[in-house]
Amino acid sequence: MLRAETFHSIFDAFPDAVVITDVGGRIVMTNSQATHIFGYSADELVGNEVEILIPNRLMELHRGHRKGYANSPHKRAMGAGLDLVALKKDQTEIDVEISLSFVTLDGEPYILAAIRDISEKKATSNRLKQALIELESKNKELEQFAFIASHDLQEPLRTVSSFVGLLKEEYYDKLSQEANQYIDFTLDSTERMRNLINGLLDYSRLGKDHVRVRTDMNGILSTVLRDTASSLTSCDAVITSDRLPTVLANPLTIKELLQNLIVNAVKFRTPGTSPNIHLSSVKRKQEWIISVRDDGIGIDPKFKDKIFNIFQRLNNRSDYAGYGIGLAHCKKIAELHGGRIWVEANHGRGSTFFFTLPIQNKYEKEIELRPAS
Amino acid sequence: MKKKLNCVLLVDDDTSVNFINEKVIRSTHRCSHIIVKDSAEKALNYISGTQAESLQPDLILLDINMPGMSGWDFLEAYQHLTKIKSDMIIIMLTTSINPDDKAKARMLTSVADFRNKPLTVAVFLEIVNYFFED
Repeated sequence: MLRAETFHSIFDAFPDAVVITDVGGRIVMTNSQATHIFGYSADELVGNEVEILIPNRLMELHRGHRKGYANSPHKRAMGAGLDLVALKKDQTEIDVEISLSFVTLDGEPYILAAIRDISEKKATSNRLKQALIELESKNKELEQFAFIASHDLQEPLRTVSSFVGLLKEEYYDKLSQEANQYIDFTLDSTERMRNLINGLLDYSRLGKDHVRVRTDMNGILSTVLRDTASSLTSCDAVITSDRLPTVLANPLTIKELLQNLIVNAVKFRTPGTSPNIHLSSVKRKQEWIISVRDDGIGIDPKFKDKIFNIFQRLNNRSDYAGYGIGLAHCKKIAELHGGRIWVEANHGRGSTFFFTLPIQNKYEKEIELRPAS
Repeated sequence: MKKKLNCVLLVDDDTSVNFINEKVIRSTHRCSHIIVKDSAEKALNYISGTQAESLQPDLILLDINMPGMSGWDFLEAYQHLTKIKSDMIIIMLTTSINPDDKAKARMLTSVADFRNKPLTVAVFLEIVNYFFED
């Protein structure tokens, strides 16, 4: 059995406010944190009903709860899912967490309440919740916008390209050299716009039904190599890979990511050479870092962030065809997986793309231990 | 006597845009030489590599969104060129009616004006009259 003085000196050092009442609800002891939080001196509190710390509207309710607790005392831990408020001397309310326990001091039963001011924590968490809701709705709006815009843009575009197509069919070489050129420019542009719109559409839909399953990256690589075989063999590309991990991923999008990186490495090869591309992986802390290294034309470091923006291209269309969509997709896919993507210049020639896949949960740690099938 | 420009430099990665702009300018008969470059790098190389004074542009029509080096990047690099004509006029031409771009262009003393594509005969004459007529 502890003596009251010993008790007091222990509780005075507590980070939480401590208020001890007798079974009748009268305050018998407080610590300095309590006077600090509530703005009362210890003398002002001791001897008063504990309801002095409760807002008026809740007073009767609290008295009832208190009596119920005194009749069947049990330990109640901090923040047991209750929204509790307390009243300061200046009559302002604060959000609190309270833990209750029953103690015996000098042979007498008492109730001990440890009170934590969580106003700031609660305000922050509310702001965070609000921001998250706003973010989600903005994201949805944006996705919707991209979808509708790109869908509706296709209509008039189709009309333009069909009629210019007809013009070409029926009048090409019947007008003039210049007229032929106009027709060709128009058809090229409508074709480009169709591709840009489709790219935007795909981009906005990336991430729908993004289910992740156990995915063997070696298997994904084999599929990519099979699907791109003709373009790889046409330039004698040599692709090598270390053993890649099995991860929790969406097989469709992760394949697209890997395929885009490999196709890019082949596309931007050093002119007049066959590209050498090497894949490897390392595990660092809570993530896998997978890299695709090439010996191609490389990327000017000042563009290393820009290239991941949608429709951003570094080369003229006459030098390299494309729409500036592939790497934007890669970035979105990596981020959908909770990872990152970036590029670094190699010492010597070419560049290396890296992306990370976080190792997130117990399930994933378990599958790591099993050999990939 | 109507003022005639000696040399205009067109900088745009899109061949069809250059085609139209060149045609529009030619039709006004107000310009002796039209130089076309499809990238900012090539335009810079042209300006720094051309010895003949007569082939240095009086007017540059510059696209903003180009792959790699953009119109903004061009302006940045252009300011570091040593031999530039002090009275060279740069006008940015763009498809985007992005107010941010417009505001950004206004901040730059090297940019004389900011116009939307496509270039028309009327717009070109307006430019010539405003910037080059004595």
